Amino acid sequence: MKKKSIVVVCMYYLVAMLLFTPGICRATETVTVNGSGSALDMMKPLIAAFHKSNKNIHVVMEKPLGSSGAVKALLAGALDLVLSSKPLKPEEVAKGARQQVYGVTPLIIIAEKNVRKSDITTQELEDIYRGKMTAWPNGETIRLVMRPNEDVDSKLLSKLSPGMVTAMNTARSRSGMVIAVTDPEAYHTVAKTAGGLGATGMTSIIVEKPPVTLLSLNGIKASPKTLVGGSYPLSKEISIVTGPKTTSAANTLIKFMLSPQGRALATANGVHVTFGAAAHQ
Amino acid sequence: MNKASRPLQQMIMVLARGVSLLIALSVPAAYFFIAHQNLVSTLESQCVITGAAVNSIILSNPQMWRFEEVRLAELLERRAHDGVPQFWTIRDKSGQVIAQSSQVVLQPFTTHRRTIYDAGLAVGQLEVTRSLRPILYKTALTALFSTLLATILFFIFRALPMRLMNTAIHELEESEKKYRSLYQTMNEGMALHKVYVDKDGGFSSLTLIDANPSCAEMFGGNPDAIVGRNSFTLFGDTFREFISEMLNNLERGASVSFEMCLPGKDYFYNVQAFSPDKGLVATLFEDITESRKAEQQIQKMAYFDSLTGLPNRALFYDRIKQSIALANREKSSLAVLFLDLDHFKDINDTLGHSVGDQLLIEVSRRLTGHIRANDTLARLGGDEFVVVITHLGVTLNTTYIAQKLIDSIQAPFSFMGKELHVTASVGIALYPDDGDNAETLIKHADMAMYSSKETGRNSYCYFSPAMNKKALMRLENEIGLRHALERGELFIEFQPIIKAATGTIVAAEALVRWNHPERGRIPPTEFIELAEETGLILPLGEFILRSVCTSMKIWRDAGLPCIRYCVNVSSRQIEQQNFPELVRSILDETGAHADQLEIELTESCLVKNIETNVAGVFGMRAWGITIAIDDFGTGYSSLGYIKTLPIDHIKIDRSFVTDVCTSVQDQAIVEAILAMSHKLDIHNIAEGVETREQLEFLQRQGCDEIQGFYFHRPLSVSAFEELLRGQGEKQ
Repeated sequence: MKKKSIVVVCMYYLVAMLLFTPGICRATETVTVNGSGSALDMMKPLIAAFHKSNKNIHVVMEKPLGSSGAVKALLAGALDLVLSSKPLKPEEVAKGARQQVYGVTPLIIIAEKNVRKSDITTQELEDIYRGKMTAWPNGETIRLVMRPNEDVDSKLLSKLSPGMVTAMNTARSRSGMVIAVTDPEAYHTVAKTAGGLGATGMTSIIVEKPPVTLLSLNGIKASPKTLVGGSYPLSKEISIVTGPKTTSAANTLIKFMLSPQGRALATANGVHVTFGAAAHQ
Repeated sequence: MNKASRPLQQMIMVLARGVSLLIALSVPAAYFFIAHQNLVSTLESQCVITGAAVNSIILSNPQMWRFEEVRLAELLERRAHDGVPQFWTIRDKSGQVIAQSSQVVLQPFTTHRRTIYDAGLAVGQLEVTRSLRPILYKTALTALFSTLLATILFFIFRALPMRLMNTAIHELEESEKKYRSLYQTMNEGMALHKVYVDKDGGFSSLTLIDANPSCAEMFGGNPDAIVGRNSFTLFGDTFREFISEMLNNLERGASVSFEMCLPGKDYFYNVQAFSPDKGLVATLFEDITESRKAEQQIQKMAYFDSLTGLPNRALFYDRIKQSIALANREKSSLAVLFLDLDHFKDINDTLGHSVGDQLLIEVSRRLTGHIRANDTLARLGGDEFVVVITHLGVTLNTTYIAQKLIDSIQAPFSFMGKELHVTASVGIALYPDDGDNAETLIKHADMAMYSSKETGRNSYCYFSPAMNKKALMRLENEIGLRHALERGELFIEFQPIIKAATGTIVAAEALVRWNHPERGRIPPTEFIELAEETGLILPLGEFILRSVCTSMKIWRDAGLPCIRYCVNVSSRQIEQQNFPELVRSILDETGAHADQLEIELTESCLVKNIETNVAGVFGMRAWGITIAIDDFGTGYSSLGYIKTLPIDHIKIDRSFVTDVCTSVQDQAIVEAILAMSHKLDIHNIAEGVETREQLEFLQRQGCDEIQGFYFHRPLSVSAFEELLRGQGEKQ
């Protein structure tokens, strides 16, 4: 395992050197990035910082396609780089996709800003998903903003307790439920919906600062620290996925992300960067 | 099950199966078709809606929409699907799957596709697949119900017509059985014949092919013996005569009816022929022998006298009309002889009707033997015979025949060992001199016959106009007498009856008188007999009785001597069942005393009614009424009734009294009557005493009472009242 890590790091260094060699990167290059909404939110300050030192590389980041869609687009050659919250599927790997875990960020339970509540328990979540609890203490109707079943956020929540899977399926079976496909859709919808309740990655909260109430879970406030400490259960992975062929610009961007500056920016925006942690340490 | 009904049964089965199968298949098929069409419409609608949603996602991210799998999948996942799983797929232009819903759709299924666009440019396709199983399940359920319904309908379609058919067949069989039974047991003979034609299509022969027992019995004994035989041989030539008419009419569908007589037998049949089918002739034989005989009998009864067998009045009129017509054509003459037996009524009355009937039979037999075969002898009724003699030469011929007829009756008739002497009176009317029609000739012959009777009977008399005049007079009298009763032209006179020993009035005989307004007083001899014959004697007798009783009451109340008042009563009055009641009611009505009333009866009246109404008349003696026998010695004297009946008085007829002083015979009769009455303790009265010698003789012989012109003629009421009052004052 240790050998394998050393080989990968060496490769990145090699790529980085090639990228920063004068003459090679003279023309403006474009790197198209997409993936999970939370990850993309994390990338926004990184890209801004990256652009300052790499003016000839233009990073294009459209609205999030989601991890699966982005990987598909990557394999189709429509993207250069994907920031995914999901592990690759074998067929995606077979097609040449490569994934490197970059870090983790807490998945935060959020409510509409007028909800006068600071904490929520797993049981309350179960009751809310089951439909047993339908109103906030102030009397406002709880309006659940759900994510697609296949979305990583849904999977994370479903693992919160044994009863959550059933509760979530119950909620999904109900008609008229609000579904947010991407992270930005989720927190924007919660912010706009009276009594709204949902979840999103911490990166989005820090970067986009949506007007929502952050709820601690079972009395534990979400933070990289509580996450790493293991007291906070909802951990959302951010990984870098590359295709069979990665452009030099893309490699330059990856290099920046892995650089101390990049890592520091990621950490500042709610990511506990795990890539290369052992090497740095 | 009838063999003939099997095809119909099969047809019903096929129809029932066809209809049931059609229902069993068509209902689920129709349901599936409609449900499938509905599904297709639903899927198309959903594709339109979902396609619009997909299009909006494409427009929001034209470059990368193909990779928005999650969004698209969620979109597909969340499509409305009315509870039935649907599988959605979005493909790009190359057919690669972009997104799919997760729902599982079971086979078989149907898929509907719709192109998705990016600003009018086709970029992919939206597919929705839905299982057909729900529809199939419902179709199967529908099929189950429709099969059940079809099964029920099959039984209904099969059972109902079957039942109707079976009922019809049953009724047909019953009807056939009934008619077969009728055919077998009917009194009429029924036969079926086959018509054979020759090469030219003309009639060839007729053969009997079926016959019911009655027919067989009529013509042969049993059906086997006659079936197969030539119909003409069996039914005779009459049958042959009608065959052409029969065939012509049968071709037109009409029936033929005729009568036939079986050759060699005295049997008559009414034959009704009709054609039940082509080439067949059915004949119905009705045995009318009895009815024919009855007709003959009726005809005989209608035209012949049942007693003598001679033509009756109806047939005689027919014959005489024919004879008149013949005489008219041949310019010849004929005579009508009206023959009436003299005193036949007395024979009937005395010897009984059976003797009278025997006499009539014998008379008719004798008369028949004395007329020609072409003449007609008829009995008109009672003892009246009439003869039409045709082809008269001279009048002498008629006279000869009339005398011969009278002579034929002269010979005594013998009945039950007794000889009976009978005479006849004959009246003769000639055509055309005495009448030109049957009625007139018979009437004039009748008048002539009466004339013959008046001139002494046992003779013949030709009609003359004087007779007609007399008859008219008689008719006039009859009408006048009726009016006389109504107009009060009749009145009563009383002839006193004197006690021979004292010369005092002890009784009076009431005598009716008619004062005709034009003809003056009409003697009783002219109207009493007429009244008897016409029945007017009944109201006349009642009038006399009431008048006498009224006077009796008045004179008794006036204190005049209470003598007897004698009223003559005719046989016709006695024959009235209620005569005693009539007398009683008049007595009660007038208040007269019954013991002053004496009823005078003739001997013949007594004899005639001795077995019937005499008892009632003599019963009136209990009220005090006395009974006298009038004209004693002139009638059919039978001393038997004098012995048995409680007679109070006998009146010696004037015919014996008139010559009593000169005729030894009359003296002997009168003496005998008086002696007999004395012995039997019956008072006697001598009528018609006109001379002193007669009176003295009768007084010497002990006659009790005297009536006659010697003392008094019949007196008017006032004169008699005066006479009676005078006697009362003397007493």
